[in-house]
Amino acid sequence: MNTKHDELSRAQVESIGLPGPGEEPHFLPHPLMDRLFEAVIVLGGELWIERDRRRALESLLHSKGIVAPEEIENHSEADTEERKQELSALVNRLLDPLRTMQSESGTAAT
Amino acid sequence: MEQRNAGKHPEPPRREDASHMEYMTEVRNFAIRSWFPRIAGDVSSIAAAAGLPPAITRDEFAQLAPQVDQIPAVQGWKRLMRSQQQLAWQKLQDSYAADREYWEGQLTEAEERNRGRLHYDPDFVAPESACQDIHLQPGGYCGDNLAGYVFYHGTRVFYQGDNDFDEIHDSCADVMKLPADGQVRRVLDLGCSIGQCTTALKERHPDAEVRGLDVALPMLRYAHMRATDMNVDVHFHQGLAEDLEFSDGTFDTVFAYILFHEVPKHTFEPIVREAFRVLRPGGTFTVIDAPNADRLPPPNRMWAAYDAQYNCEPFSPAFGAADFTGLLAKAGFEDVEKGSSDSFLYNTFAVKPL
Ligand SMILES: C[S@@+](CC[C@H](N)C(=O)[O-])C[C@H]1O[C@@H](n2cnc3c(N)ncnc32)[C@H](O)[C@@H]1O
Repeated sequence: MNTKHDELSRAQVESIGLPGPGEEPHFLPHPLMDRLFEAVIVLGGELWIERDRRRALESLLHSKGIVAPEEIENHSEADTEERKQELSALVNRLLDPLRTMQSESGTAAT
Repeated sequence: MEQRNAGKHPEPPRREDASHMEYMTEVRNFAIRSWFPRIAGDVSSIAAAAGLPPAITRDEFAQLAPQVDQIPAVQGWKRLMRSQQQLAWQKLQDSYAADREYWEGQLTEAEERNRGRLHYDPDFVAPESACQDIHLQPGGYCGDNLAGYVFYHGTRVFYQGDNDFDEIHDSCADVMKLPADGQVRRVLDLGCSIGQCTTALKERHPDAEVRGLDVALPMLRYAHMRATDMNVDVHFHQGLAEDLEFSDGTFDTVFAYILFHEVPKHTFEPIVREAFRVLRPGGTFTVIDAPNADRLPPPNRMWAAYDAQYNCEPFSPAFGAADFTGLLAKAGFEDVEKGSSDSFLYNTFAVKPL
């Protein structure tokens, strides 16, 4: 495609003031608040994923007569390396937006 | 739940992706149905206090924007909308990328299984305008071989669960205007993406030859795989709507669903001219797209401004402001009419004179 076409569309894109590549605008008074907001959304997602899976699992176990809900309630599990890694990945996903905030000031949305 | 019109990959890779999409759909529902109505009143009050009428122009809204952006609930709404969109895309993209070879292989396998239905030139280079991260999808329509998969599931979130069976594409295909003589032998679906309207059109016109055209190969490859799995015989072509490979008078009807608001304004006229050229006399053109409205209620204006700038829809405002029916008439179309629509989109119909 010719450069004339690209030039015209670039001019139109520029007139809108899109955030630049890798640039994240903030809408709330401080970028940290935007990051916190996002972290809450992420957390809710992680929470729902787990709940949904646990429901499926518990209901399967129960319906197959393998584990009754009370047994799960009272069970304690030995820590495995994999489990620890999962937890650390979760904390990372959740807190990384806040860390990122420390290294960039963010761009104020207009 | 099995998606009737999804081909053989109705669900995303993992159960957790499905749960996450379900969550994101709910977040979006909340942002739109619960949060937005609460800020709408405040935005309208600001406009009224400024002495503006109940429907305002883009420029009028720009005057109010600094004041509107001071409202904490508006700030939070924008954050919620943008983060929801970014997080939904990101998770889908990561999930597919984790098993990239398999998913790419599925596309290739469909090409081998059903040859002669996907038409593209490996040397085709998409223009810059088609490479934006539209709707914040990372890499946009063209940037990732797996973009079709990600788009399919991402738009299920966008449609808030109302399109899991292609209900919206089906209803678009239903409103397509047919030529007065009833002859529908060849149909063209412009900007077909993953071919959801293309297959819906074929199902309604089983004897017609139905072709979808799009600039983005990843979309078309997914469209082709999906149609192949659904056993619906349609063709897909990579190309530009403003520069069609088809000869004059080829089609009985041309159709474009939400293409125009995503192309730069200097291409509106060439696209309309091309549609006119490839239609036979008496052929019809149906365009379903964002409103061409000079004036919108202030809250809708706020949303449109947000969408353009922060949901990466940079071409959309110019389409909203365009005299689209005038453009159709100028290209030679007759009986240009804005039909009614039961969604927020406009249906526009035009006929090529006999
Ligand atoms: C919102 S999507 C269309 C949705 C689709 N019609 C459906 O049924 O869901 C817009 C599509 O237009 C395509 N597109 C953008 N510019 C184009 C152009 N100049 N010619 C053809 N297709 C284009 C994009 O690749 C994208 O797939």
